[in-house]
Amino acid sequence: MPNNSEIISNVTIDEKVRLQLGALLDTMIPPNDYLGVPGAGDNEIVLQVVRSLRAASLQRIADALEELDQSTVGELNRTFSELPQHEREEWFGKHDLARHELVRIVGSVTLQCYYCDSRVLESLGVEPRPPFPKGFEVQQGDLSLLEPVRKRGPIYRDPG
Amino acid sequence: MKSEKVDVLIVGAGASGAAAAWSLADTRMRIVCLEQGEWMNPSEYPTSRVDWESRNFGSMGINPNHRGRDTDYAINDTDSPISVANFNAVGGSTILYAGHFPRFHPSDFRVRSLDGVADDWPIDYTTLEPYYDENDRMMGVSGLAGDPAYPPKPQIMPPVPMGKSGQTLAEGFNKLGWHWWPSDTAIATEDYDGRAQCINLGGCYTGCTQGAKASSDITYWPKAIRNGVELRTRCRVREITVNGSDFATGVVYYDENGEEHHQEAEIVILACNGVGTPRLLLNSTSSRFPNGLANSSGLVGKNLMFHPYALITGVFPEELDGYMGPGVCIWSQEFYETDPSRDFVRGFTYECSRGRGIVGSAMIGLGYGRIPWGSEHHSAYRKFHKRLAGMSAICEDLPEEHNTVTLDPSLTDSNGIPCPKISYTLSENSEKMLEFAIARSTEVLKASGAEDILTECPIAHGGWHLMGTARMGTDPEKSVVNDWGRSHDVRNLFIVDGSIFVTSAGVNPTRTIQALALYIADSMKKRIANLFD
Repeated sequence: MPNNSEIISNVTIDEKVRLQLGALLDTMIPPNDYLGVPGAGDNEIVLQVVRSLRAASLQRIADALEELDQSTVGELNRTFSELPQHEREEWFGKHDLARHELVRIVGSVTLQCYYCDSRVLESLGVEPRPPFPKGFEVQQGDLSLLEPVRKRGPIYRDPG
Repeated sequence: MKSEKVDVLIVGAGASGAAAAWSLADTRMRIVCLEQGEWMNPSEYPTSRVDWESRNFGSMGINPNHRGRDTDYAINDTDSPISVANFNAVGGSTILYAGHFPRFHPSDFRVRSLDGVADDWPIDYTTLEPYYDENDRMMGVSGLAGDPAYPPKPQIMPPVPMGKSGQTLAEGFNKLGWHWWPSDTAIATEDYDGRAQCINLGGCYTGCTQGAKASSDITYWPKAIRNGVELRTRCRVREITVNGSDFATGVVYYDENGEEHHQEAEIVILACNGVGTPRLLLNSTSSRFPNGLANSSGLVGKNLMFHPYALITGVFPEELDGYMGPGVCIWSQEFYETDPSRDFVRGFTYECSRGRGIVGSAMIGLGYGRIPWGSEHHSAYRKFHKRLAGMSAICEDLPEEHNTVTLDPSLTDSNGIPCPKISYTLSENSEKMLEFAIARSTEVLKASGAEDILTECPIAHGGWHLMGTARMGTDPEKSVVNDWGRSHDVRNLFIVDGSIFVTSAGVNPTRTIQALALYIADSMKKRIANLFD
């Protein structure tokens, strides 16, 4: 996993919160065996997300996770994180959790961490390496396409 | 603490300060430049790491209010639909710019005469042309000669590759019979003047690890320093001091440890950009200049111009360049010049972009509701991955006095210096131009094969270009500096940055800012015997 030291805070969370966060992130971006990608609730990705969140927001997130976890108990008799993946997804959709403040807070960081994971990059056909020093090949393009543009002649105004 | 008096004191080591320092160095005068930022280390730029995109949101981000570097000052932009984007370091905002490097057009200097709006510049394209050429050599410009949207200009290096994205968009422009051309860029496509050629890292916006992009820390500054200019970093200037004869005597600044210094100078040159320069002038009050220095016209901080941008992104069915290669590829100036049949005056440039990064694609897809959370996330993401290309429309912003940089009454930086406040509204002309630009870009993206089109207007975080807040002119009642950059009020005070722009044109300003800095420095050298007359 990348070391995102610029935005990483020295924070830790307890196991309960880690499991709750993992359950939420796996619901947001589920694992996919066919594509060979982990869910965003994968342990390594969760830890990276936690490290990337601002320390000040962690308690708020922990509180919101606990609230989310308890929200399913009345109807389903289990906490959100105890539900199997498909039931969590169903609950997520049914309650429009994509608009939930908690999802908005962790969403951006989750994408930043998930799409830097080497397993995810490889599944997209992207070599998991920094751009520098190898760089990339980009095709030059066909400059003969400019022929009609040249034929029009100058299009700028000359104020004289 | 008082330092030994110098001949020339430059405030700011960005695009314009670097050019002016280099040009003036051949006078053998004692020149010192004070820069509040520090030297950047290209080997630490994000593209040397796998997670390079994430650092867009951290210390290499474009917004000084969010990036949290102690070399920044906050900007109150709550009264503006566009927030300021800048960078404080040796090299200034050229550290983070895309390297898109167009010139102004001849018509841009004659806006009043041609279109009856704003004001003409006191100089013209012909005046600046030799300085454009000189700056092109110093920065190392890549492009293709023969662009019919411009008078002839030299080609120094071949253009950056069009790539699949540029070619796809070019074919769309051709279907509509519209102008397009490979972009002029400040990106070395060949080894140039000690810089290695571009290897398509794709992270131009977060600093060029390869050193191919011409940020002024690696172009002008090494030469200026070799020629004797002293550059002091982590020095934040509080105010310009003056004597009873209305001459600047130097500046008061704080060093890295917060210690106060007074640096005396025969000549003071401001190169702090269109927000930093009016901030410094407005902070330089005295009994003789109670409304700020060089402000007898009342125009310091007024006429702030951004470039209102519209961002138009197409989603294509086939893979394009994605995260690979410079962001810039081709441009179109089909709608650059005024057309009386439209309901707005002046015009804009389409700057085509070849794609988005891997994280960026996910974020844009999510933001526009095209990529959901949940089981459909992966399939939706794969329809975006390497399939985005489009353009931004950079619209000419006309000067309006109510768009201002003032001093915030309570916000200060870490040295206790009052911070700037931006008050800005989009004009009706800009809104009509943006609307037109989105409509036409939608046509060309469809002609290019895009299946879905996403728009953002204006780009809320897109205040990259800061202009007009200390405008140049021949009339002291209607301008802050004269036609060669000298303050009307303080005859040994010069301004060389974008704040002296009279109008903004519809192109990125850095090439013109630097040409102006070279022109002003040259004007000073030519008048050195009677510079203060």
